[in-house]
Amino acid sequence: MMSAVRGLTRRLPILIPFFWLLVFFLTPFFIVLQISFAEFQYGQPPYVPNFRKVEGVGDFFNQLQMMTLYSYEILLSDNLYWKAFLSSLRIAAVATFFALLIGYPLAYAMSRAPRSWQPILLMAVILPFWTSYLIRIYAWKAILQKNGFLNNVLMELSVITEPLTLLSTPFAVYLGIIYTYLPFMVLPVYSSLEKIDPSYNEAARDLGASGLTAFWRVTVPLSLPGVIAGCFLVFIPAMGEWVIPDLLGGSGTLMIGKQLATELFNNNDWPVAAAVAVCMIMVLIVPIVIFQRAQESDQRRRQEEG
Amino acid sequence: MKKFALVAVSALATVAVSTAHAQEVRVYNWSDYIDESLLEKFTEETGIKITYDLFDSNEVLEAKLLAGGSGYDVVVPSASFLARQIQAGVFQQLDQSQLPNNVHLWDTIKKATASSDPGNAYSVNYMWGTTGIGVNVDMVAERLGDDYGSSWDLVFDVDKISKLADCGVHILDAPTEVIPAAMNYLGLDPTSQEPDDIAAGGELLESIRPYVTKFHSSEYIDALANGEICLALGWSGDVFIALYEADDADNGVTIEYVVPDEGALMWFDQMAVPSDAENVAEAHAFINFMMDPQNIADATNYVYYANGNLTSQPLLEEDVIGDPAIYPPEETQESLYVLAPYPPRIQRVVTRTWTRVVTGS
Amino acid sequence: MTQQDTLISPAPTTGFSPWAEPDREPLVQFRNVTKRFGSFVAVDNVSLNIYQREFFALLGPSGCGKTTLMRMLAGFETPTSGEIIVDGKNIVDVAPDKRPINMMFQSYALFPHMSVEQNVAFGLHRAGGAAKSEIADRTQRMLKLVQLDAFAKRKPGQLSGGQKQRVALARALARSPKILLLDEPLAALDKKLREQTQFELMNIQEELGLTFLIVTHDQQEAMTVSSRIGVMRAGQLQQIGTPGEVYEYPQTGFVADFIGDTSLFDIEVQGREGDYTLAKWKGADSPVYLRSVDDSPVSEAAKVFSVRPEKVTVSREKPTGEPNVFAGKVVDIAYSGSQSVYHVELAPGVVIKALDTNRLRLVSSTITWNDQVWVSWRARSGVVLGS
Repeated sequence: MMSAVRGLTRRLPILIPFFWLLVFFLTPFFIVLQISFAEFQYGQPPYVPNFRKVEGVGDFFNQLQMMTLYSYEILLSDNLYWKAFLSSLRIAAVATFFALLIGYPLAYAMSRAPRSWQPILLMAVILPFWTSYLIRIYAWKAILQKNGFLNNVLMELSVITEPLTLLSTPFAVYLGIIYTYLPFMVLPVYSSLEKIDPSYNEAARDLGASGLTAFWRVTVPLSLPGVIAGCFLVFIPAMGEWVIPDLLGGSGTLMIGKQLATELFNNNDWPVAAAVAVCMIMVLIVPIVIFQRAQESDQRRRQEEG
Repeated sequence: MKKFALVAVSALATVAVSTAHAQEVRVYNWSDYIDESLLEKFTEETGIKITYDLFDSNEVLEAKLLAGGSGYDVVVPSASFLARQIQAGVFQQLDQSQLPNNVHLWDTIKKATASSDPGNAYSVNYMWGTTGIGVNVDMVAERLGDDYGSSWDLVFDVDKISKLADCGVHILDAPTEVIPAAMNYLGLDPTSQEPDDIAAGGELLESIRPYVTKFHSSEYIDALANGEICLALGWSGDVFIALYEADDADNGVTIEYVVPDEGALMWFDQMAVPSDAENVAEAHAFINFMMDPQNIADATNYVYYANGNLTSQPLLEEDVIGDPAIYPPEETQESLYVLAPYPPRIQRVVTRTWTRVVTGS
Repeated sequence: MTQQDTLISPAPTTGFSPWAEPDREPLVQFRNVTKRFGSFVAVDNVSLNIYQREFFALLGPSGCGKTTLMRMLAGFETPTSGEIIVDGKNIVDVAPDKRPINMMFQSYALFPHMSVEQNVAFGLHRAGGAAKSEIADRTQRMLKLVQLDAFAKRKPGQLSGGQKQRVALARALARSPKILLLDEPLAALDKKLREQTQFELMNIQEELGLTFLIVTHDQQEAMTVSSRIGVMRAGQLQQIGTPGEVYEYPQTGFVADFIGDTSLFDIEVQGREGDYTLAKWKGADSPVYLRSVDDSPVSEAAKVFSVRPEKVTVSREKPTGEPNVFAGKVVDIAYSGSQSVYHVELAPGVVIKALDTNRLRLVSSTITWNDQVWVSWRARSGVVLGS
């Protein structure tokens, strides 16, 4: 008995993350998965409940038979979903690319700033999170609208004569996504840049590399774990983004997150919405696993060095 | 007046007056749809604490109701949605004995809503209106001439709407209202549930898609009011809110609401009590409060939507009761149509058609 | 800087000693170089010449400015004032990658994402003009030189400390620099490996005929490897000389104390007695006898007398034939296996250290705590300093 307790406490550090995964990912995921195999009905709940307590092996197979692939058939029969996936992928990829393009120099500048400044700069990056991102997106609406701040300033400066249409364009969507998720790029990149021993850069310079070459051949490769982390932290939420395109974009922005909302709100078709969610998770899980691998190997390397 | 109506994210307006029994009622209503001083008045009179949340689409409300456990005691769906929700068992029958103010109701409206809610057993009309066109008078006149008319041509004639694209066009993100409007313009029966008819309406909408700035169900109020857009296919009362907002701001924007000649959708928003409501008595108290002629008259005077309360009409301001765009005269009423709910299979067709209209895919 | 008593002159140098040839052009010249970080003066008006094929050691405690001096030569710091001349050219404004100098970092700074081979080849690729096969050949040769050709494909993370050190050396040598800088190159190695590597470094330096500048806080290391040592303290060069010079003829008390072990006494020169100069001290009533190399009188400016423990003999019987013989009591014995250092109190608060090699087993050693003993040293064994 005692040894069993001791065994449990010894395993606790492994059990806690596993428990976390079970409660906050696997359980909801299996509920969604189960709904995706259910039959649609207009009612409460909006699907035919297809999983009761299993009573015996026969009952289990009975219940299995109640499952339907109808929702997945709908997804396959209409190329809309496929297009929405691709469109989301593209938007997420473009947003990630620009977040990296803007975020990397920002993080680099931060890591090169005097030590005493760095906490302040870090704070400046984190500070926007103190207000709801919804409020900040609304602020962007006010900035971008036709008689908004940006147009007024540009007109005042005589850069333009007619107000530009900025709101409800793909540009506004990208701006919103990049703006919102930029800190998720800056923070991991900064943290990996900041960890790089400055002597690597000096060694490269010493060995005849110009400043630029040293940056490309040494600093960039060594910051890659942060870059990968940042890219995933931007890409994954951008992929499922729904609110930003809804608020800043024109209605034409095709995104899988929005499609999921349409299934849920317009059609009340929970099984199809669940099927969309399941596919989305499947598409995202591949890069997440790659990311995990990269992180692990990086950690191993660090341990070996340490 | 609310400046921000959040999509799917309900702003919270809680009027709290602490009472001994901590009675409360939770109401889920459309955005920009009440004079909020009425909520304070309700709590003062009844001692019931009220939680008042907002939505801006029937679809969002329906998703919550069907999921169950919405936590609301009074909700306000449109009649066409209400009809199928009743069938799904979402609502409970009202106890008429707790609604003494029902003597004030207007038979004309009761008759109209009875097609969705037989015998008006589950719901009471809150307000009703039409789905028409909001126009920025100067901007549209500048592009189409002073006599731009009052026809659906403004929206559905590519020739005309293409000239308005540069000043901004919003259309409701409400497939079940906009597609029938297009069908009606094509001379088809707007209440038709034939996939071919729905597709025809969709095609017409696709043809005007390039000139539409945005499909959205609440942003057009502010956008119209501050001159951000010059045309909106929207709900009557919301356009009037924009009209008076612009008036108050004195920003040189003049708004007009047009009930198109070819006819328009007439809709009814109905107060109903979910079957799983926790505060049923308080829910009735709130509904009865809103059926009081003075209260509902105050609400109408504030939001410019017609109500279904006959006794309240003498209490309305002249520019409300006298405005044919709010209380359409009998002959206009003949051209208005009322929608029946779509069965799920057709609903999917409507949604799919709408997605094609909105995204081009 | 304190002045040396010029009367005790170093022994004449022999063999490799370009610094003694007046016509030789130094390879590196620091001319009045000063470096300030804010109000902190890291390097204070240092002038120093380093000659071709020298193995020069900058020695000093941490924070003395030796690393800053080296980093200015590498190009990672810019002098606040002064010039650094390499091969006749002032290189103060030359970028680090354009200097004919390579550095081996204390942390080795091996690029963790590149293999051993790629690390060594890194500098060769930057040189430009070299064909791929040439680079590969040279990389191979360098790895052979440090006996790591079998590890070419490994990543630095998979190497031991000693192996990393060799890769760093090979990488720094690959470009055949005019000067190789070594920043505490052996600090991370254990003692055995360090001693072995010291000889390897010397062999490589000799074999390639390069000029090495090493920065170290380990006097043992500096003495072993270098042709000359520059001892630094608080940003200033205290003394420059061969290991023998700085050890036998320290010019300041700091140098005497920092390099090796010594006993320091305040003295006051009193007069002459034959070839000897007599000085009053606190160690005994009788004076201490000083004798310079050429028997000339010791100047009255001498204020401090230094004698190293190994120059002092300790015995139970009073020795004869030496003028410096004093009685005392053993107060401490530092036993370190091969030898023991006896701390002998001559007068209250005046202690001299005497070293004795343990030719016999400890148990048979006859001198122990509180024993009354005699210490003695030859008059030429001591050194006098100005302060």
